[in-house]
Amino acid sequence: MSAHSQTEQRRLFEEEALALIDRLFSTALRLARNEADAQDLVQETYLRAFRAARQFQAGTNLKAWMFTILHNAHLNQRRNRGRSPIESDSDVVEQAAADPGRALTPEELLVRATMDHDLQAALNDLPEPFREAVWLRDVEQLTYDEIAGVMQVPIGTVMSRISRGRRLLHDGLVARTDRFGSRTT
Amino acid sequence: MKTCRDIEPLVTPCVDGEANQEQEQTVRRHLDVCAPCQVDVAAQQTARSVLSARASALGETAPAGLKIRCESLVSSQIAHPGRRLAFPFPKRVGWPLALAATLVLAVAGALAYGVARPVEAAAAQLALDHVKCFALFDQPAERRAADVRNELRARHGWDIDLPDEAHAGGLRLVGGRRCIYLDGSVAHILYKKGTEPVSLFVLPPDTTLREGHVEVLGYSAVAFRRAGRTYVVLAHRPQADVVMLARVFK
Repeated sequence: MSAHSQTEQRRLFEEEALALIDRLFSTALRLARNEADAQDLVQETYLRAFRAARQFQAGTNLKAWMFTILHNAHLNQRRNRGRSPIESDSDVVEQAAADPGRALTPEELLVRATMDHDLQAALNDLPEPFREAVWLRDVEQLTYDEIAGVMQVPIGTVMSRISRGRRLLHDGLVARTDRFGSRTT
Repeated sequence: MKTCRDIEPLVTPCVDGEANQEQEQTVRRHLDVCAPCQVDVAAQQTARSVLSARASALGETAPAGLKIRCESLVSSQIAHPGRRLAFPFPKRVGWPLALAATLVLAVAGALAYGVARPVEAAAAQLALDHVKCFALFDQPAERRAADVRNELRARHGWDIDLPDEAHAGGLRLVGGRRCIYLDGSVAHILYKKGTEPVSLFVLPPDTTLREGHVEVLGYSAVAFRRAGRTYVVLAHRPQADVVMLARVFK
């Protein structure tokens, strides 16, 4: 490949990567749950991505690739702060997932009753592996395969995290809409 | 008849509408006879609908400053800094007065920013050291990186990696000292670009300062981490210039 087209390819790669900045920032906010850390994460993600640009295979999914770097940068940020690394199958997570009774709420009612801030708060309350899996699936619309790549876990784990995450999110939303009395029957 | 456990792996694809016909039927047949699973699947469906419906509202726009910082990371800017750095500074007169004023301002800045803005406060402190060191100590025309490295190791036990003359991007190394900030644990490396002072601060390994750019009192500071240490490059120049200067050390 000529030097010129290599430069051109590199420029295109960077342009496409930079076009994802809002998606990455939204996801970083969901992971870090505060803006300063989210900004650091996004910057770190671009730094790593541009340094590793040659490892990206043209034609494969750039978005999933960038999300993988973001995911790893987030783990790194946590580790550097001395917080324990995320253990998806820790007791806390298991307990959080094994919630007992849940009310059956008509879907439309809940959709209508849910304010965005309730939804954000309920999302933020999810244990991280579930929060990330559900977010990547339902908001970023990644495939199970892509999510498995980003989170570096088997596809079965991805599905069970999505499943549990949605269940927990539902319960959190019900609790919130109940508490604030915004549910109309 | 399938048990709850059997259908569990099929629930997510079913809720997402990605299961095949056979899988879907298996799940439906189970739900017909299992109320708890019915409730559970309905809950998951609801959560998915709520999220999908609100997906666009949940998206955030990256702040403009962040965009600029990320755009500045592209290869074309790193490989070819583009314009030559020029420092057309007027000849400095009345050092003591200027120094006193800067000291007062820098301290005031540090206090005003306080704990709420630790990066700015740190930058203000470092700006203070920058002014003090360059004003109070005579600098030779140029020193060798190896000599300054050895001196810092011998005097303070620090192992600090400095770029060799050839790789310093037009920066002349004029000295290395211990500075007062953080109880004397910070190495202050003094450079000149033309006649203009440029400082490199190397913070102790256990100190973390958020990476980024800060402007305090006309000074721009760029903090970055390398090999587990925090470095800060500071000069009385616009931020873009200092960002480029910092690349020498990254």
